Order: sequence, then C-alpha cells, then structure tokens
Amino acid sequence: MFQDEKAYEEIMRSHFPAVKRFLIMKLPSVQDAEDAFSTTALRVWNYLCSARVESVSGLIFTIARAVVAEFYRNQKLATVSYDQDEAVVDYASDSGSGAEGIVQEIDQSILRQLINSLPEQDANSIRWRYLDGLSVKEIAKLLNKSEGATATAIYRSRLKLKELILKQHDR
Amino acid sequence: MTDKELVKLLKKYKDTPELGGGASDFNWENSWSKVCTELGWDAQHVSQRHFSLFDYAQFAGHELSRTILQPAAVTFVALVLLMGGWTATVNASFSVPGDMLYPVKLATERVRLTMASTAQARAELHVEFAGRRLKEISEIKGSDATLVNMAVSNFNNQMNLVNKELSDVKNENPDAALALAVMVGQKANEYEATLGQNQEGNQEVASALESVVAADTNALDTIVTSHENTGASESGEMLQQNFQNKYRLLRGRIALSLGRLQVVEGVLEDDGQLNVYLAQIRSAREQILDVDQALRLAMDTLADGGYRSAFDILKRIDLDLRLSENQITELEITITAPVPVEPTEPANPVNNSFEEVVVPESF
Repeated sequence: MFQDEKAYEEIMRSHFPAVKRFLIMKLPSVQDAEDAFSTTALRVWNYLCSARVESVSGLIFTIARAVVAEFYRNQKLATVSYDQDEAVVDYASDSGSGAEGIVQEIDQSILRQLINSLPEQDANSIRWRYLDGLSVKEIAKLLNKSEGATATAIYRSRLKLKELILKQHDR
Repeated sequence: MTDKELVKLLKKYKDTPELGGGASDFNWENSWSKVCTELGWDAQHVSQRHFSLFDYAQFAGHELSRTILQPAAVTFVALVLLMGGWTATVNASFSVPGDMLYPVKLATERVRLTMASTAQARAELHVEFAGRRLKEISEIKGSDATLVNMAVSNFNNQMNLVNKELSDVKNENPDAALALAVMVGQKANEYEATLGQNQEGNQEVASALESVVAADTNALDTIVTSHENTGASESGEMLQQNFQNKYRLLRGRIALSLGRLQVVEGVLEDDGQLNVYLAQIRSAREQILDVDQALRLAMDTLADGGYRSAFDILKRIDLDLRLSENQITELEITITAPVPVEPTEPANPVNNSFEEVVVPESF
C-alpha cells in the first residue's frame, strides 16, 4: 500500500497550480480555497493509503469537487447556477457592439461565472488549457483520454464558452 | 467573436484573482506546511528526504511490471485464448457426428449463416455445408446407424435449404440466380453421384437423393428460364454443358446396363438356364434400347433449341433407366442366390418337422 510521503509531496506539488485555480474559481474567497486545498490534500493521502488508484489526477479533482460541494452544503449556499450568472452579468449587456465590444464588455468576474456555469469537464478543459497553460498531452492525462479526444473536447468546450459569451452579449 | 479573441480574453484575465491567479499567500509552501501539520509530519524532513537506491529499484521494478510484464502477460493470455479458440475451431472442422467438437462445427456454420446478408450468400453456404455433411456420411459410413442417419438427415436439410434459397434468389434477383443455379446444379450432380454410392437401400439416403434431385431440377429450371428470357449465349453454353454432362452419364449407364445383361446371359447359358430367363432379359434389353432412342431424341430437341423439352426427356430417361437397372439387379440376385440344400436323411424323424430349408422365392 502507498506510504511514500515524498512521492505524495511530489504529486500534490505538481497538481497544486491547477487545483488552486479550480478552488479559487469555485469558492467565494481565497481563504476558503486554501482550506479546501488542505482538506483535499488530506483526503487524497488517506485514499492513496487505503486503495489502489489508477488515475491520481482524476482522484485529486474528484475529491476537490466533493470538497467544494461540501463547502456550499455546509454554508447553506447554493452553487452558482447558470441563471444566477445571467442575472449577475446582466448589467453588461448594453455596452459595446461587435467582436471588439464583446471582448471589452466581458470582465474577469463575468468570465469566471461563465466558465463556472459550463459543465464540469468543459470548465476544467478551459481552465487547464487557457488559464493554467497545460499542454493537450498533460490535459489528456488529467482527463484520462487520448490526446486526440482531448483536443476535440477542448475545442467543444471553447465553442460552448463562446456561445455563452455571445448569449450574454445579446441580452 | 473568433477563437483567437476568446483565447486572448482568457489569457488576459488568467492571472486575476477572480480566475485563480495572483493570491500570492496561497502558495505551495504554505499549503504544504499546513497539510504536513495536519498529518503530523515535519514538512522540512519530508521535503529533504531523498530516494535511496532501493526506492529507485522498487520504482524500476514497478515500471517494468507496468509497462512490459503486464502488457506481455495480457498479450500472452490473449494469444493463448485466440490460439485455443482457433485450434478448437480447426479441430472442430474435422469432427464428425458423435465427436465432442461436432457441435462447435455446427455452431460455427450457424454463425457464418447469420453473417450472410443475402439469399445468394446463404444458398452458397448451404451448398458448402451440404458438401461437408456428405463428407461426414462417407467418413462414418459403417459406424453407428443412428449417427449415419442423423448425418444424412442433416445433409437433406441443407439441400432443402439450398432449394429454398435458390427459389428466393430467383424471385428477388434473377440475374444473380443464374450463377447460383449453375453452382447448385454442378454440386447437385456431384452429390447425387456420391449419395448413389452410399444408398444401399437406406431410406434416409433415398430421401436425401430426392432433395438433391429437387435442387438440381430447380437449378436447371432457373438456368432454362434465364436463357428463355434473355437468350444470352452465356446461359446457352451452360445449358449445353449441363446437358452434355447428363447425356454422358446416361449413356454410360446405358452401356453399363447392356453389359450387365450380357454377363447375366452368359452365366445362365453356362448353367443351361437361359431359356428360363430369356423373356425377362429381352424385355430389359428392349427397354434400354428404347431409352437409348429417347436419348437421341433429347439430343435432337436440344439442337433445335428446345432446352426445356430436352431436359424433360432426360428426366424421363433417368426414371426409365432406373427401372431397367432395378430389373437387372433382381436378375443378378436371382442367378447368384445359393443353390437350395437337399434335405439329408433325418437322424431323428420326430424333430424333422422343425428343420427349415431356405429356398429363394424365384425357385
């Protein structure tokens, strides 16, 4: 069974940037994200020590997602839904026109909400590829898919995000 | 909005706190320290730990197992299963009724039939399988009668299915029916000859022969119909060839029958009993000569382009010739039957009435 603290450190270190971004984008504050990371890391260690794991990356993000869900349950806060996102970003709808206008009217908070409103895998693909700067090969490992399938998944995620942005602009 | 603009937008904001950037306090060192505290570890000790040679050896062993041994084992097992399956299938293909692997052979055939998408393909498979059944009959001939009958019955089924599929193809795709009919006709002739050698009064074999003849007749009818409709030289040649084959076979049977009659005559003459059977012999010979005459008529009819009539004549000739052949066979049995044993002086007159003497019916 897994008992290697040093190997565990390496695993968590290599996943830290992506997990950190995931948690910060999902949770209300950086402090919440930091706490969630600790919880995630502890659970990952316990799991590694008790069972055989095929995909460590998959395990880490699964646990991170569970920690986020738990956070909102405990806080009795609803997870940000797409409808809520739309309400939040409503104010930007009249500004600008055309492609240039769209780019200008979308600020980071709207972008964050739009990304969060994507299905989990699409949101992860966008985060890993364009925010964390991971290569398709690295994302393929995280998604446990072939590189070809991953490239297609990223492309589709991008289309979905673009669709959301255009929808947001049309409002 | 283009893809390029979207990517530009994402990169523009990637380091903002909203998208998880910045947050310099939330760094690896702090987070790891916190995790180590929770787990009761000394973060510095863990970080400074170096892997020993044993660790590397263990890792190398694990990698070797994961990347080479496990795939090799999986490949080996797959090969064994594949070869096992292949061996079983190959062995099964040589099996005969009564063998353990025979059901595998039949199952394989069923799979092939299921995969055949057209009536033509199915008919071809039934012809092939009928040939296999016939081979099996030859191989198990003389063994358990039940198994032989089962094999003959299986052959019969296959030929009936050939007949059915040929009729379907004829209705659905007349163009394809011609080639199929030629193939069925050729095979039916082969099968008929083989079955004829194995008949020996077996009812099942007689029934199988009937189904072969039915398939042959159906095939011939298909070819004739095709030729009547299209007048194609291809089907005309096929009919000529088919007729010539049948003509040669019948002529051979006529010559054989005349020869057999001559032998019977010679034997009876030697025994001084020719006069007793002379009428029977003459009658049989006349019938055969009539058949010979009919054969010439069939040839003339064919030359005039009357394919259907010519083949109908051949069919009648075949039946008449069978009758003559049966008559000759009866004669041969009669003259070769054992001479009746003269009753000897009874040792005990009281028991004499219980002794039996075998006397042939014709005597």
